[in-house]
Amino acid sequence: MLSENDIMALITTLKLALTTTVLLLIFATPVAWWLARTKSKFKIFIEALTSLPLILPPTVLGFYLLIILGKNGPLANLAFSFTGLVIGSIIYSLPFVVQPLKNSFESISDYNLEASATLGASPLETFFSLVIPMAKPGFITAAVLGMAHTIGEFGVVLMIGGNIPGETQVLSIAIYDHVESGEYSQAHILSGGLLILSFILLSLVFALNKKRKVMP
Amino acid sequence: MKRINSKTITSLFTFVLLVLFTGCTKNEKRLRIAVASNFAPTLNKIATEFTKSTGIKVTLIPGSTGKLYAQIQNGAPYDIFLSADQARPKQLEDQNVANSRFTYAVGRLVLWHPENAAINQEFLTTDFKHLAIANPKLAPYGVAAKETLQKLTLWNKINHKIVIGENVSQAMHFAKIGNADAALICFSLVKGKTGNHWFVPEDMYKPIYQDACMLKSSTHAKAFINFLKSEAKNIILDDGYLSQNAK
Repeated sequence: MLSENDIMALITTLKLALTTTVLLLIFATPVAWWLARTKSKFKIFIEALTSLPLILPPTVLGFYLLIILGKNGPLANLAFSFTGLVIGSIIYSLPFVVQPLKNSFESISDYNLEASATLGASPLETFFSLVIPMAKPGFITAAVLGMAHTIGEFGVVLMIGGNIPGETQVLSIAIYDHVESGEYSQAHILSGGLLILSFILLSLVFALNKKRKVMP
Repeated sequence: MKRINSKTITSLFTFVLLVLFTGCTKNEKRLRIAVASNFAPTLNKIATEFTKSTGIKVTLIPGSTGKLYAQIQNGAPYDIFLSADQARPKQLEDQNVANSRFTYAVGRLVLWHPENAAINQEFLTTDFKHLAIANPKLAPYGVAAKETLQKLTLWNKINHKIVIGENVSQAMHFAKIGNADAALICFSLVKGKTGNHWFVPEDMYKPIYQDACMLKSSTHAKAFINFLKSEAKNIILDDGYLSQNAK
């Protein structure tokens, strides 16, 4: 039913989505925290910068990434590699992780943080034992959205991926390839699978968030 | 709560690392061949034969000649490039990116109609809706299609009716699903398939010499080049290409 290439594309996609999500949660958390707490006048610019991938066509991102990651770029020879895709996906899915995190950090009041400090907790302790549990719905939404958005990535991968089976060929590209060469039955299987997977992922987010809403 | 969080994060990490490692070991020793879309079905057959006789596994990366060329210039990790023209492998050779260039096939342009209606040159002057061609900027068969239409002084007249696919297989696909009435594509893609075709006379376009070149020298790559020059000849001719001598 699934060809060897299709299975490799599925593995590559999951690998890319997981790696991107984990790295994004690590990198985006301090950024979102800063955005939620700062009174700096640069806030709007940083916020605009992190939201850029929302409105920029993936081709613009892909084009600049190709120049940066290409042979003569500052990060030479990362284009057409899995690492290059991870870098591209982190930028591409950044707003989908930063925004939910920022929103949930904003909903934590200064009062809670001060109480924790008064009880003798260091900022780091406060972050791990107070902020993370309180912002849990935000983390879940961020993780699922970041992952789902990376799975659905197409334009950036098309430009910097190179369509190499087992390395940079993700599901969306494999589907494009199947359709282009008239292999509709394989395109149907992959497309249907993605549709169901995305639906389940999103239902999960809404279900989890609904449960949490009772808490605060 | 704190413990649960760090635990989930660590297990996620381990999982990612595990997946990464299993993925890394999988593709070693595979020969990566970038191939112009028109030749991809033929190369598939050749690769199967090649793997059968040598045990070397091959991964195909099909695309338009121009797109693959741009990728190679940006450092794409391919071993061999089978172009649909001569110009791009030559440029890669001049840039010291490629070597061992040779012509592996000579292509033929056809006007293809997906239904069994008789088709010929006259079709181009009838009141059709859309004609599909490959992108002349990226695909040599697109260039040949454009040359043909220019020779017939139709290019400017039917310009608004031309739909452009990235490569020949996309152009064929446009016609196959009925979004275009017919397509100007390579013979090898339609040989033995349903539909009807008309050979565009060879004086209407510049001959389509398809050149191959080696990007990364290795014994495996050399073995494949030799295979392409010898055993693969019959498969290439069978699929509707001409050999260079016949031209």
